[in-house]
This record gives sequence, structure tokens and C-alpha cells, in this order.
Amino acid sequence: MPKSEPISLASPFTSEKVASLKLGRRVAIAGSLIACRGDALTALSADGVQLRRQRGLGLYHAAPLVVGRNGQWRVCSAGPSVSMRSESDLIALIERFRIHVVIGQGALGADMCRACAARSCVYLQTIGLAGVEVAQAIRSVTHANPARAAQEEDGPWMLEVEHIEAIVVIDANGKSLHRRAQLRTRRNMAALRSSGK
Amino acid sequence: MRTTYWEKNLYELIRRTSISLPTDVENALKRARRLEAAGSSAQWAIDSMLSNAQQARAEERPLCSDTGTLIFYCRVPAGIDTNALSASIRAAVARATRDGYLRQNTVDAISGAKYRTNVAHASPVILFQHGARKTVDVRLVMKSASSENEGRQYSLPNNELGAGADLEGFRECILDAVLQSQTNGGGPAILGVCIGGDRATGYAHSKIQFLHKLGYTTRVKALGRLENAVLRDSRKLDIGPMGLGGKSALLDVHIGSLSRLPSSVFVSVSYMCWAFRRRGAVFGPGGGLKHWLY
Repeated sequence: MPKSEPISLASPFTSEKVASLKLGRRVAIAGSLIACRGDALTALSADGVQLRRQRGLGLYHAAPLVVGRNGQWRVCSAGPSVSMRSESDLIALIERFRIHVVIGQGALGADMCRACAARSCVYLQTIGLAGVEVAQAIRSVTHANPARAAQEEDGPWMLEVEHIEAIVVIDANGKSLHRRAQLRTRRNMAALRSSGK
Repeated sequence: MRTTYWEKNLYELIRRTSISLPTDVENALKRARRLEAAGSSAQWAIDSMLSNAQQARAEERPLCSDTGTLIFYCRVPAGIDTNALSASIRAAVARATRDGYLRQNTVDAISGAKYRTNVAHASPVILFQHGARKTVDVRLVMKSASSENEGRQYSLPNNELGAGADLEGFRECILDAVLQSQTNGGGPAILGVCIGGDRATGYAHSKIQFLHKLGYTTRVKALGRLENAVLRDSRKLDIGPMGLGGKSALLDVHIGSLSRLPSSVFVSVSYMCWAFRRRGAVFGPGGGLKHWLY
């Protein structure tokens, strides 16, 4: 697959912008993202929590390593979290906030594929653990709940980013690059077994 | 024991470990890059990893936000006050957390409540071993949660894999671990493997393998051949970095062994992401820095 320049994808993220993105395409994300993980993600996906609604936000499954206080924050590192562990929360958020772009790490399952197809959403993978690269691209960071930022460092954080590169691993039709890879690598393993014996 | 002296040098060890990918790992990533097709997703992924490592070092920021478990391997001469050394390590960890080199990354097992400084019961992990030298050798491995979650232990024979309790079966298990971790781990990975031991010592010994430099091959001939076979076979699976396809599923495999019970055969596999933070230093008995390791 030739990968020349990444396709630009800027907020507000809409179903039109993501509809034509193909599996394996490299994209460069710019604009507004919510960054959240763990219990904070669960809380956000529950109906009780309010977020100042903004249309077309992207969801970054990550908890940035942030230092500072009283609203003066600096992101040291912001690598993605392994997304499989929060799949149901991510799906709930896609539905609740009409999110069309999710960025995370690793494979997601059949439920996420169905949600992506139903809601016209894409799931993108960044480089796991490459926290500094992403941190470099962050222009501003604020906590969605400023009074409790020190306690709730898993977010939600609101990020303005300039350029985060990622690869499309679930497209808006619900097709999954990882699912294909799993089938392919299992076949390779079977071939290796039969040749080794 | 002059604790302030110790604390200052141990803090520097933690800081360097957090921000600076060891040279052997960086070189292994560069070699892996050459295995991948020009313009491929695999090469793009490795380029991002390399540039991330360079930026982290240049700007003195944590290489990875997944701080992970801090494991300190200490080899000390007889007569050293290990309680005082532990206290210095814990104080240095607390300071490095406050300064943003480590994430607040330790929680209570039951309530999930956060410890502010990563200092808690069994955190950091500090392991002591007595050595013959008069110096103190401290090595730190930071093992991320996403890598720790990919560890696997096999009890042989394993019918599901068709793996018997022999070298061929060991290879089967290790390759299965590579296959299972392809999408959630942070590959290209480094595997630490232990053949034998029990469930606890097997995992512990598999992690000690991470102290070897990449490129090292064990002197146990049968295991050395196994290391090479696993590396060769892993390239044929088309897993690549981050499961994006390609040859570089692994940067290296280190295999050790422990004696075992006649009727219990374990293969314990510990997984390490590409963001392999491992540093060490040799100190004089008073805490003075002799030289850096790795």
C-alpha cells in the first residue's frame, strides 16, 4: 500500500468527512478533541455527566501526562491507551456525543465495527506509547471540569491539536484492518506449523 | 549511609530511564526499519517511534505516558543497609513523580484510590540480591501496563496449541504469545521468556531477561537456537509494528531457564513494548556514582 502524504482531517468532524476514508490510509488530525480514559471515560459515557456540547469533536482515548495547576497546564506526554479495555464506553460516547472520529491504540472488536457502521464513525490508531510526538502537536489543553482537574487527571481534557498522524483501522462501513490482519497472521502461523513438522 | 547523596543519584537514574530510550533499543528499531518496505505503514510507525524517542531525549520529557511498574534490580555487597537504600529509592520515586518524570500511576488494589507519588505497599518494586563486588549495581526497568497485560504463561503439554514439553513445544508457545499480542501490544516487542520454574519464579525470571542488551544471545546453545528460530519465524507471520503488517513483530527474544518439577513445565512469556525504558548505574557503597550502564 503506497503511503505518500497523509490526508488532512480537521474538526468539526462530520460523517461526510470520514465516509470516504479507506482502511490503512494515513490521516493527519487537527482541531478539537476530548481526551479521556478509564473511570473518567465511563463517567462521561453515563447519562448523568454534562459536557459543554460541541458538535464535531473527536475522541482521543488517552490520559495526557499533564503538569501545572490552576488552569495553567502543560502536556508532557500524551500517548493513547489500549482501547479494547474500554470498548463499551467508547461506543456509548459515539452515540451520546455523535462522535465521528475516535483515536486510540490497538484493535477493537465486532461491537465497535457495528457502531462505526451505524453511526458513520472511523477508528484511528496512533502509535502506542509515542507520547511525546502527540504532546508536541497539542496547542492548548483545558480540563472539562477545571475545579477538579488535579483529582481527575484521567480527564476529560479538551485538546486543540495541530497535527496528529494516525491510520484508519476501522472505516465508516465497519470494516476492520485488525480483523483482516488476525485472519492473515493465523493463516501464516498455520503454514509455519505445517512446514515445521 | 548518606541518604541525600543516594537520593540525588537515584533520582537521576529514574529521570534518565524515563526520558531516554537506551542506545541498544534505538539501534534495534533502526535495524527493524530496514526490514520493512519503503513507504509502508510499518516504516511510518517505526519512524514515529524513533522521532518520539529523539524528541523525548532532546526535550527531557517522559518517552511514554504509560509510566508502568518501576522495577529496581539491586545487587549489593554484604553489609549494606538495604532498608536505607529502599527508603532512598522511594524518596527518589516520589520526587520524580512530583516533577512530572513519572505519572501518578499507582492505585489501591481494592478501592482504586490513587497514591499521589507512586510510593505505596509494593510500589516501586525493589529486589535485592547479594553480589561479590563492593559496589552497588542498580538497574531500573519501567514496564508499562499495556506491555504487562500481554504477558502469558503456558503449562505444557498444551493440547490446544499441540505443544509438547520439548523445544518444539516451547517455540509453539512463544509464537502463540507473539500472535496473541499482535494488536494490543506496542510492537515491535522484546520478549523475556523463562522455561521451567514455577508460576511465580517463571514470570520473575522472564522479566530478568530484560536486563540483557538487545542483540545478546544466550550461551546455552539449545536456547540460543530457540531464540533465533523464534525471531526468524516471527518475521514470517506478517504482524509488523503495532500489528500493521510487516516483518518486525519482535526486536529481540531473550530466553532463560530454571530447574522445574518433573511433572510441571511452564513457559512464561513477558512482553515489553518498543518504548523499553531500562537504565542502570553502578554506585560506590556511599552512593557516589561510578558509571552508567547501558
